[in-house]
Amino acid sequence: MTEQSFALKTKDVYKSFGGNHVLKGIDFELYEGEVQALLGINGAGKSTLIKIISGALGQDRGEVVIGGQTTKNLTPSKAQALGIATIYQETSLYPKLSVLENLFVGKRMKKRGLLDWKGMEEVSKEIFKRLGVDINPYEKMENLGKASAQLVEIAKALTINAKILIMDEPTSSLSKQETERLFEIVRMLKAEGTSIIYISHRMEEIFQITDRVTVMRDGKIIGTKKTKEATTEWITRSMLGKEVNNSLEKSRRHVGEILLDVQNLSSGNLFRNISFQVHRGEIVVLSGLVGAGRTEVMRAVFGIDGFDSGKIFFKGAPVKRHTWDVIKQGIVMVPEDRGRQGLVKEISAAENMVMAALPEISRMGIRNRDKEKEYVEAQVKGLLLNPPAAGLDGGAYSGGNQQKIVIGKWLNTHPELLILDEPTCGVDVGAKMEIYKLIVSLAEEGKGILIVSSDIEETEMIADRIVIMRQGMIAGELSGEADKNAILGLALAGKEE
Amino acid sequence: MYKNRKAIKALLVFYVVILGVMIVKAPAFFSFENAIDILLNTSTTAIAALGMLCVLLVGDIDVSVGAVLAACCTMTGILAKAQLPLAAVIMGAVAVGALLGLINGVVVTVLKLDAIVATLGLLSIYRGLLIIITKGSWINGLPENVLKIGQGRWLNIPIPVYITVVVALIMWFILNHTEWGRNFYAVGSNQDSARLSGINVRLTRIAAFVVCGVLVGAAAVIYTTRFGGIQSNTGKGWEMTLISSAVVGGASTIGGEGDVSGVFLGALLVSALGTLLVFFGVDALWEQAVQGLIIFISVASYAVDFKKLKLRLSGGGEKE
Amino acid sequence: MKKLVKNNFFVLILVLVIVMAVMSGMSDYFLTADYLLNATRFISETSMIGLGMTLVILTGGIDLSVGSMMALSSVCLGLTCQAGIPAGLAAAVSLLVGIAGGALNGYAVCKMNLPALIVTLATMGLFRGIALGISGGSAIPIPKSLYFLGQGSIGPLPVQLVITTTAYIVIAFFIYKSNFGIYLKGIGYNEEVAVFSGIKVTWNKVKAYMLSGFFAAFLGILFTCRVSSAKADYGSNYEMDAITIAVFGGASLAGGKVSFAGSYIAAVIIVLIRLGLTTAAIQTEIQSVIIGLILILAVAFNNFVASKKKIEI
Repeated sequence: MTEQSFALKTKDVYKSFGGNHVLKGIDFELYEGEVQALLGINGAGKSTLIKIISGALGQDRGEVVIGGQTTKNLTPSKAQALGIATIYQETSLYPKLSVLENLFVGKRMKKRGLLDWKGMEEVSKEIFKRLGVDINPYEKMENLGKASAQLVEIAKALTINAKILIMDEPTSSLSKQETERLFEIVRMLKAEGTSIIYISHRMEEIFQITDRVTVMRDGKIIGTKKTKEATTEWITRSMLGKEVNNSLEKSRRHVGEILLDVQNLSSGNLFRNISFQVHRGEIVVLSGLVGAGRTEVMRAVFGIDGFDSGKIFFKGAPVKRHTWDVIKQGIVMVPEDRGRQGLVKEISAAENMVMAALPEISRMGIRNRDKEKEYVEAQVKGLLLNPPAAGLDGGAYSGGNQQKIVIGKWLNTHPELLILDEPTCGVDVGAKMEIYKLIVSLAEEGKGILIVSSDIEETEMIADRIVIMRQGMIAGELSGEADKNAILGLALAGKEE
Repeated sequence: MYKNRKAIKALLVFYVVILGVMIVKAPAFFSFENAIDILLNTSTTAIAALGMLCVLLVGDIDVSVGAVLAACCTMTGILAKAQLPLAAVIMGAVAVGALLGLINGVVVTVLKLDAIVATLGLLSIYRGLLIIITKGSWINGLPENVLKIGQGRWLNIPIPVYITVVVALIMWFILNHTEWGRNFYAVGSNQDSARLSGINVRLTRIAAFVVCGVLVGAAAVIYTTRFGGIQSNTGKGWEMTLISSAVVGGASTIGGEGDVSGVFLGALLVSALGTLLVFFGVDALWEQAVQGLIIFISVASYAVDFKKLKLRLSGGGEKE
Repeated sequence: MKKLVKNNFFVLILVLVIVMAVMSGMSDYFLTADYLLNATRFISETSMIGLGMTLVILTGGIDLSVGSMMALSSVCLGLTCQAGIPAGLAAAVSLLVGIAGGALNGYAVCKMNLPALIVTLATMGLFRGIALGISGGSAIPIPKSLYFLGQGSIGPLPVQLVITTTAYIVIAFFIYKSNFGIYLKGIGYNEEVAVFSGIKVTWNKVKAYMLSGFFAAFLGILFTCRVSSAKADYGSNYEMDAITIAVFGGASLAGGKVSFAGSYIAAVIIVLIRLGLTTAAIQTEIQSVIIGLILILAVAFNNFVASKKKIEI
């Protein structure tokens, strides 16, 4: 083992932001040609470490050694020249430019001082062939889906012949098939000698693809193990610093009358003939692959987008067309993209939590601050918001607590049906369990819960009933006891395996 | 290399409609002299609008161009009256433009101000200083050798038209075939990624302002020599003309979108409107209203067009 | 009160005090009641154009058509009066024109999803053009009965001052106390969240543009009544004044953050500087240099303070 040479090494790296110590002496080692998982809950310091390695941030103290060479004042372009490519969680692409241009920004090929578009096109075609994907290099980036964008990011890394590839949650927006394809590419790159740092919250992927696992907590490395020797328990314990109870008691709940009844809903080529029901006190998970049309159905139900044909009933009455009326009827939706759709980061948590309930709280359009305070306090206590105060700006809370603020916003409107689109996306393990418990307790109160989830483990854990969508249609319905294979079978091929 | 074909298409349809109507309504419109006249009117607008395009591409905006034009015109006049050679006059005007562009860029990027606010402030500073320096006097009686630029012809076509074509070609080349040109697009499309890709974002934005200043300087030389004199309020409200030209030509005000051919067509439309309306028999008093309406419609047409396209796509049947 | 402190309110007051001190040092009769009361006529006009702009900036938009709308309203007032319509009704027509113009802007921005800068740039030409076209470009006298609005006083206070200050208080009260305010703020900071929260985004934004048009038209009436005739070239470049006031007062053009008190004080400062410099016989050009500098420095200072705050968190 000691014979193996290092692709990357950090020695005693420290970093703090205005008195907040984010990294406290990191000694990170990456061998040549290995895939190493880097794990840690949000705030453990992973992204800061990545940013230092890729030159986007400078360290306060310590060294970064790349390919045996100690770096000084690393910048993004210097890091690139040393063969480091980073695929960030939020894609760093240029939506208005062509795919071709996206691949080469910052490192365009030139011929006699001029840009060599032909040469770039050839290289790009070669790379796409190597990746086994078919993307038109002249397509405008914003016309591509999320999965293709992820592939373009990888292709971008290949254009610089990256020796070290950093992937930050690369599969968070990919379907199962696309994930498999990505793994093939990762294995191929590894075989070619590329070292890969792989960041993910999905345990199954880590065991499937990585060679070693490093866990970070509170700005320190807790430990590194060979993946074969690591266990899920060890990983979660190291991440959280304590044992967690990962099981959820599926308590008996009284399932009441039908709340939501969707009948033959269709909209263009987004989805067709969608029918399903949600009962009072029931947790229904809408499962399937990313891009199966689940979010689109939810948006139609919630009145964000229109639909062509079909009917939606809520408690026997047709659901109205505008979001504000739908909310009045008792349906609310926690959207997928918290930062863009769920929470206004610049205003206080308190204001976020009353925003949707104002028609109820205010009188004749004039706000009633005392009543608002009551409503907010109730949610802060009920949701165990941390820190337990609502005066901070929404963006100052952690991901899980931001999600609680969004849920709090909706609970203030006294809904009867909650739609939650990927409720635990980007939420760390500890906070995930809190949100699950919260969802279950809401169901116990007799509310209907409709969850869109791509996380199979999550689905297994909380669902009473699972509706699976595939390619814009309902592929089947399973009970909450169904196993992974059945769900996957329906989601992938439209039949139970 | 993606181009906003939608805007160009819409513009071309617009042109065809206008020309069609003109053939029926006012055949006299199609005279050589009239075409020359329109092109001559377009020249200053088109050159400077290409500069505005660069600033818009990086996601900024420059509303001080009118004052910069006045400053460059004044420089042209002063140098010409000092009997300096033509090359020196041009260099002087362009240098003033570049300098003011540099100041704009530095103020916007270093002080981290909204471009619209910063250039708004600078606009009144430039104008004030200019009048203080020139004491508000008009400049006229420029020497003959300089007037040749604005008023001379070669092969019966005015010199400014040639200059415009050359400038447009150079800008097309820069924006499509050089690293710097493409960096404008990258910075405007996604500033954070551009920074991570190793592009010097601040320098790129400053460069865009400088290019804008340089082109306004070039336009100023034509402007001054064409009219043979400058008034102290030269270029008032000109920023609106340039922004309209660029936007009608498909440039996006949030950056990353726009190209030379579109902006050129946009500038042509905006500056030909006056002549067109005369031929349509529109009262000069209503000219501004019709101009505003046409700009409004042409910008709105992009939005309408897009929706229809979406509807057609979701309906499944595409006619074209 | 907290909001006032959070904004650059104290900096503005400080600037105001300095301006007053410098001005009174330059001219003896600057700090007299007569002078200042007369000054409030101009202050009220300038601050009113900033009020509508502040509202639109709160939603993350911008309205360049305010100056032209002011001219259009003025011309409408003149023409309707000339046609023999009673003065009160004529004024109402002008205000309706303002609201309609604002609705047009709002519709194009919100329903057609066009950039506010472009839409209002086009309507700026359109409104001014219509004003020119229908008035023939000449000045139209207005009936004496309307003079009160521009030249009269309520007690010792000029009418404009009372109207504008009331308008500011009502709007500020509304924004801080009503749902409308928090809706506009939410929309300004993050429109998509507002959509997902069931807020009537389009309607609320259109309301902001309509209010902007309304206040521009109102100003058109007040201005016309002060100078005793209507004309199509009033209010050119007022949009720039309006933006200057709003931004100087603490607004962020990105939306969500504005200060009405700040806008009001900013208008007072800018007008006082102009008047003071004029009184002190300083060229208007130097005034424009000074005002330009103040705008840039004030905004730069705001940004500096804001970035400091962020680091502390």
